[in-house]
Amino acid sequence: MTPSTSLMTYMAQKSNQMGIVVEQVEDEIAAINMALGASYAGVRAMTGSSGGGFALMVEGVSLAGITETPIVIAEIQRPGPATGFPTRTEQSDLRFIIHAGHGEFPKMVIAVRNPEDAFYQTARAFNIAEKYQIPVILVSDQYLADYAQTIKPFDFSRISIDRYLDDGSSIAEDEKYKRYKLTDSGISPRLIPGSVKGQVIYVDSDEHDEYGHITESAEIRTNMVNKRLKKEDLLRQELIEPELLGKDNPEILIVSWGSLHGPLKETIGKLVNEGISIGALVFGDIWPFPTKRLTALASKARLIVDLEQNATAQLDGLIRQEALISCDKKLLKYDGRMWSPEEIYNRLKGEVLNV
Amino acid sequence: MFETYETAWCPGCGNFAILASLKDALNQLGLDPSEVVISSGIGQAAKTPHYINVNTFNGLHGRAVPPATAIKLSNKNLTVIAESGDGDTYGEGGNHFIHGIRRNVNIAHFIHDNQIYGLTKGQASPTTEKGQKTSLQFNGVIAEPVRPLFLALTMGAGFVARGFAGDRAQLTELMKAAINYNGYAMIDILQPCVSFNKVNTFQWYKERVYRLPDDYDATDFSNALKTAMEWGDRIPTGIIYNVPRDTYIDQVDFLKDGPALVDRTLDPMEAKQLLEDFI
Ligand SMILES: Cc1ncc(C[n+]2csc(CCOP(=O)(O)OP(=O)(O)O)c2C)c(N)n1
Ligand code: SF4
Ligand SMILES: [Mg+2]
Repeated sequence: MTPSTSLMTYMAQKSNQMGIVVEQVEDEIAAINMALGASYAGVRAMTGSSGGGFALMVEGVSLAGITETPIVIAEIQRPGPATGFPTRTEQSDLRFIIHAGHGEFPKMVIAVRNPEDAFYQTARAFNIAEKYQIPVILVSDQYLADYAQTIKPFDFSRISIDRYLDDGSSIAEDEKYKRYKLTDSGISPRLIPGSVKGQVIYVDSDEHDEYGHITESAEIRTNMVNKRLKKEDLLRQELIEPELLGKDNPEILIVSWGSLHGPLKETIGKLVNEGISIGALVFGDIWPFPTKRLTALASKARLIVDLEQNATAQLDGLIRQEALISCDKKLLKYDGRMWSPEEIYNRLKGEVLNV
Repeated sequence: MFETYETAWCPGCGNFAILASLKDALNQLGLDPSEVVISSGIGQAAKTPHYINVNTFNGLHGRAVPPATAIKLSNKNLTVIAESGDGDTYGEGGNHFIHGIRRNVNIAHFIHDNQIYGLTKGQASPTTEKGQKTSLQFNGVIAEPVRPLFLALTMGAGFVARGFAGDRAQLTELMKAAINYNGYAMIDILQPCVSFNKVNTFQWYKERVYRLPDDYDATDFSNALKTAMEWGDRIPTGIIYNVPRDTYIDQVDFLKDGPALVDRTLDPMEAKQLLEDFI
C-alpha cells in the first residue's frame, strides 16, 4: 500500500542478487499472520504497510503480544482517514500505532527520523523484538519514504544479529519445555520447533499456562498478564532519549518527532545563527515514551512549542500524559504537504518569536 | 508419544474420532512430535492441537493457513498441518483458503466441517444448508452454502478429499495420504456437532456417506468436479482428486536448494554490496 510499496519493490529488485523471495500475499492480515508463523518457526520476520493496511494487521499485533512472538512492523504513514491522501504525507497515526492491539501487552514504537536513522533503527528493532519477544513498530511517512538525500555510507560493522534463542540447555532431562516459563524478568527462554528432539513448543492466542496450553485459571491469568507487562520495565532501560538540535539549554524548546528532523535541523541552525536561544527535541524512540531529557530541558525552557504534521497535536498529548508537561504553543500542519524549513521559519517568526 | 489430554469437547462430539485418527496417522508415519507443527485458528476444531503432543501455533480465528504457510517456508524439514473448523476456514479465513491453494505450499489442511459454529453455540457457518434454522438464523439460513471441495478444485488444488468422523479407518488413511502429498492437501471432514447441529447428526451422515469405489479415477478433473458437487442423498468420501503439482518451494531455487531457512546463517556484511548502487 502506498507509500510503503517501495519496501517490497526494492526487495523484489534485489531478490536474485541477495536470495530473497518476494510473495505478494492476499491481504495485510495474511501478511502479519505469515510473519508471525515465520518468526515462530525461527527466522526473523518483518512486515509493513501504510495506515489502512496496518489497521487490518492490528489483531495480529495483539497476537504477537500474547504469544510473545517477535516481529518488526513498518508503518509508513499517509494522511487519513481511510484512503485519505494516498500519495501525500502526514504524521497522524502516532496514537493509533501506540495503542494498536486489543488487550494489554508491551510493544515498542520507534519513529525513524532520516535515512541513516531508518537503517540503524531497523537493525536495532529486530534485536529488541527478539530480546523481549514483543512487536516493534517502525514509524515513517510518505515524505521520508520517498525523498532522496546525500548521506555518508552506512557502517555495516555496527549491525549485529542478536537472536536470544535458547538451545534447550535450560530444560532438565525429564522436564517438558515451558514456552511461557515464569521468570524474574518476564522473559521466557525461547526455543524454536524442531531444534530439540522430543520437545514441542506450544504458543497460543488464548490465555495459557506456562506450557502454552489454554487455561481458565484466575491465578495463571494474573501471573501471565504481570509476566508480559514486566518486560516493559527492562525495555524502558533500552530507550534512546530524543535528539536535541540547536542550543544546549534553549530558552525556546521545540518538541517534534520522526521525519521533521530534517526540516527542523535546517531551520533551527538558521535561527541559532541569528542569535536566538532555540533548540528542537526530536523523538525517535517514542513508545515507551522517554521522558528524562525532555523533563530536564523543559524545566529550563521559557517556552515549549509542539510542532507536528497532524491536526490534533498527538505528541503534545503524549507528553502531557507521560511527562506531565504542557506545551505552550502548537504549530500544526495537515494539508498533506511536508513542512518546509521556510515554512517552519516563517511560522516560528510569526507565531512564536515576534509576538 | 502423541499423548492423551483432557479435552473440553462435549461427549459424543465428532472431534474425538478426528483426533484419534490424527494420532494414528502421525504414529503410522513414524513422525516424532518435535518434527510436526499444527497451526490452528479458533473454534472447537482449532483446539485439537492442545490435545496432542506436537508443536503448535494456535493463532487467530480464520488464520490457520498463513502461519502454516510461513512455518513450512521457514523450515521445510517440518511436517506442517493446518487444523480448522468450517467457519474458520471458509468464513473468516476464506481469503486465505483460496490463496493458500493457489500458492500450493506443502501443508496438509484438515477441516472439521460440522456445518455450524460450534464454539460460539450454534450460529450458521458457510456450510450450513440453506433454510436450516439455527440459534441465530431463526427463520433459516438465506444464503447458499459453500461447496468446499468444488471450490478447492476450481482454485487448482492438487489433493482434495472428504472424510467422515464416523469412518476412522478411512480417515486415518486419508490423513496419511494428505501429509505425504507434496503440496497443499485438503480434507473436508464431516464432523457431527452433537450439541448445536441437530440436522447433520451421525445418523444423518451415516445414511448418506459412501466410500468412493476402488476403481474411482482420482486424476480425472471433470469427474472430480462432478463428484465434488455430489451432496444430499448420497455423499462421497475418499480422495476425490489427486494429481502432482509443483509446490511453491519446488519453483523457487533459493528455497528448494540448500538447508531450511532457519538453518542458514546470515551476516550483515553481506548486505554491504547493496550500498554500491548508491555510490
Ligand atoms: C475475529 C474473530 N471473530 C469471531 C470470533 C468468534 N468465534 C470464535 S470460533 C467462531 C466460529 C467457530 O466455528 P467453526 O470455525 O466452524 O469451528 P467449530 O467451533 O465449529 O469447530 C467464532 C465466530 C473470533 N474468535 N475472532
Ligand atoms: S459444541 Fe459441537 S463441535 Fe463443539 S465440542 Fe460440542 S459437539 Fe463438538
Ligand atoms: Mg464448525
